[in-house]
Amino acid sequence: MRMLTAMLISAGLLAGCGETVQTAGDYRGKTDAKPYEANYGGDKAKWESTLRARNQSQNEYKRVQ
Amino acid sequence: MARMKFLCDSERCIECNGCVTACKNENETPWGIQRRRVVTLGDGLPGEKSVSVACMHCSDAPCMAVCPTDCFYRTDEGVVLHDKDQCIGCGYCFYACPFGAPQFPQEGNFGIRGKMDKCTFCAGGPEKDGSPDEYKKYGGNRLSEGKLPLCAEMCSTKALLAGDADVISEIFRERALTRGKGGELWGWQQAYGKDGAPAPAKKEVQK
Repeated sequence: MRMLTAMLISAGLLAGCGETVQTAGDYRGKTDAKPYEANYGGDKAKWESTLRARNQSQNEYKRVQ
Repeated sequence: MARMKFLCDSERCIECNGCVTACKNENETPWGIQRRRVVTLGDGLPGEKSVSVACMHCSDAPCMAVCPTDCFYRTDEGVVLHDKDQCIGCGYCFYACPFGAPQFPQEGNFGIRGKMDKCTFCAGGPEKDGSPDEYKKYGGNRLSEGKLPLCAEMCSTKALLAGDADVISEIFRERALTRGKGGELWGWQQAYGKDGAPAPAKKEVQK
C-alpha cells in the first residue's frame, strides 16, 4: 500500500514536469493587405525584384566594382 | 519571399544614432517612444561594441505567444505586426520580448499605459496601405513602396542591414570573409553559416 502511494505521488509530481505545447492564438485583429497591392497593382514578382535590387544596394562590394 | 530580418554588424556600428533618428523621423513616433536604440557594451573601454536594437521580427515571437488579445500577426514576409485597435496595453509583450522592443506611451494620468508601439519594419499595419490612418497609428509603409526600413538605408557605415534574411546574411558573410574577422560575433554556424561552410578565420593581430 505504501509502495502504491509512493508511486502515485511520484507520478503526480512528475506530471508537473511535463511541458505542454504553447502556441500563439489565432490573430483576431483586422486583416492587412499584401504589401504589393497598393503600389504594384498586385504584381508580386515585380515588387520582389525591386526589393531584391534594393537589398543589394546595401552591399558595397556590389555597388563599387 | 523569405523572412525579413535585421542584422547589425557590431564591427561597423559607430554609435552615431543615425538609425534612431531616421526611425523617429520616418514614423513620427511620439516623445518617449524609441522603436530603435543603440546599445553599447563596454562603453569607453578599448574594444567597445555597439549594436542597434529594435524588434527583431522573431520567427517564433514570444510577444505573439503571450498576447491575451491575440493582436499580433506575421506577414508572409515574416514581419511581426500588431493591430493597435485590438491592443489593450497590458504590457505582457514587453515582459516577454528579449529585446525590449515594445514601447508604451504614457498617455493618461497616473502613468496609464497607452497602446503598444514597436518597429514595424517600415511595413505599416492593418490599415489601408499608405493611408493617413496607417501613418498615424503605425508610421510609414516603405515596404509597400518597394523600399527597405529607413534605419538600415540611412546607416552611414552600413552596419545595420535589413531585408531578406538570406540576402543580408550573404552580404554579412562576404563582408566578414573579406575583412577576416567578425563572423564569430553572432554565432556563425547557428545563424548565418551556409551548410558545411566554416566560419571565417580570425586574423592574427600583430602587437
